[in-house]
Amino acid sequence: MAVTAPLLIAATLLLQRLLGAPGGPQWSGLLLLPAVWVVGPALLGGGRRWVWIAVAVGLGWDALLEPIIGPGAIAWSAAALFLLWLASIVADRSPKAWLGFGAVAAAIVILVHRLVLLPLGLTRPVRWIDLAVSVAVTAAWCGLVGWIRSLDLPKRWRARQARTLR
Amino acid sequence: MTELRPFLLRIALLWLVLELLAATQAVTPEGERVAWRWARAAVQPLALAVSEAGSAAADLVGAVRDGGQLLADNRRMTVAIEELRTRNLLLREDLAALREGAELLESVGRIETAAVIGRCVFRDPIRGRMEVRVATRVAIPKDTPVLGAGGLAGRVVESRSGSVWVQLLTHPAAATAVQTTNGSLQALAAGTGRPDRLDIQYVPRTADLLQGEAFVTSGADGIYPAGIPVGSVASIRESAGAFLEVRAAPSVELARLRAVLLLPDVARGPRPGGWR
Repeated sequence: MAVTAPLLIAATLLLQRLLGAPGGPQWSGLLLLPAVWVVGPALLGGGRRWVWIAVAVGLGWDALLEPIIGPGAIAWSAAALFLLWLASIVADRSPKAWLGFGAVAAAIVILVHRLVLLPLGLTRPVRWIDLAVSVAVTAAWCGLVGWIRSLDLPKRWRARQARTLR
Repeated sequence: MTELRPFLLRIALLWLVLELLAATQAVTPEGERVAWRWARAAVQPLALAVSEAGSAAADLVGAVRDGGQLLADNRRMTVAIEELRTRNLLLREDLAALREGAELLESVGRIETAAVIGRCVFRDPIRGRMEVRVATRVAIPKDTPVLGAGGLAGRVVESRSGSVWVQLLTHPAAATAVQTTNGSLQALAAGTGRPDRLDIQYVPRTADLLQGEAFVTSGADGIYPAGIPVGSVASIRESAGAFLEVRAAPSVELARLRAVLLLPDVARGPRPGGWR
């Protein structure tokens, strides 16, 4: 886990970079793949250390996708912090919760990122349709991850193996 | 909760650092670094405050300097006012002396000799001495008679570069040869040390003398010319000796003398005709 998590995060960021490549569908550029790394730890009780990990995710985001380093780290860590607090008051851990947390994460990342760019004079106007699409697809992505996780595939695989051996 | 606060503080601090990091990379449309603009915006009020404080300090220093100048001017003018007051007093004194001198000069016509006017600058009637300033460069010889308004005041005992010391008639050691105005009685007027009293000595019991009778110099002492008023009889008493005890009041108010006439020629040469 100690080795796989950073590798998976890096892979997610690289994939995010590819999603925004020219030629792809418009919605693919609005999907925030790393949202799963702030939603998951919040719902699974990952603890505060994931806020710092979110800072690293944001720095990677900035390095790969933004012209300047810093705003992304603030936005992703803010989302992680908020979801950590949200998870402490929401008991649901079902795929629906993953979907909802994903939507919240996307909205926070986008809005806080714009907010951080405001004093730098680099703010871009928020297109509400883009924001809605981004929130929707990111929520769907997180909901998908939550649903897959709820299937508990390793357990099913081990049960199938046991039946085969009998 | 106790652990949450430092955690949130660290997060906030990290966000601040990240924002500053972003500001160092971001560039304004004018090509200026955002961080530099922020730094200027942060320093500008301080620089303005320092500048204004410097200006205020300069104003304060100027005000203090002006205040000091005003105080110095005030002191100087106070001293000047005091000087003017003193000068005014001296001028008043000089004016009174001049008036007295004018009165004296009116009597010069009755004296057949040259006279030098003098200004009394110090008088001590108790000890019987007086200092007189004369404007003339003429040497004032010793024993020059000194006249005041009304009669004889004394004689010069010392003269030095415009400053003349006079022995008054009332000096305890002074003695003046006097006589009655009709010349029927010769006597000696001796100083008593009191400014308002002379002792008329050697007046015989048989003398025909009345209270208020005037005495003038007789010229017998070789110092004063004859005929200058000396005093008038204030009291006559019998005594155990051969002579009457006669007291006289000086003709001159020695305690209030301001101007005097000196008769240097009298002391230099043969006695003139005297007081007419």
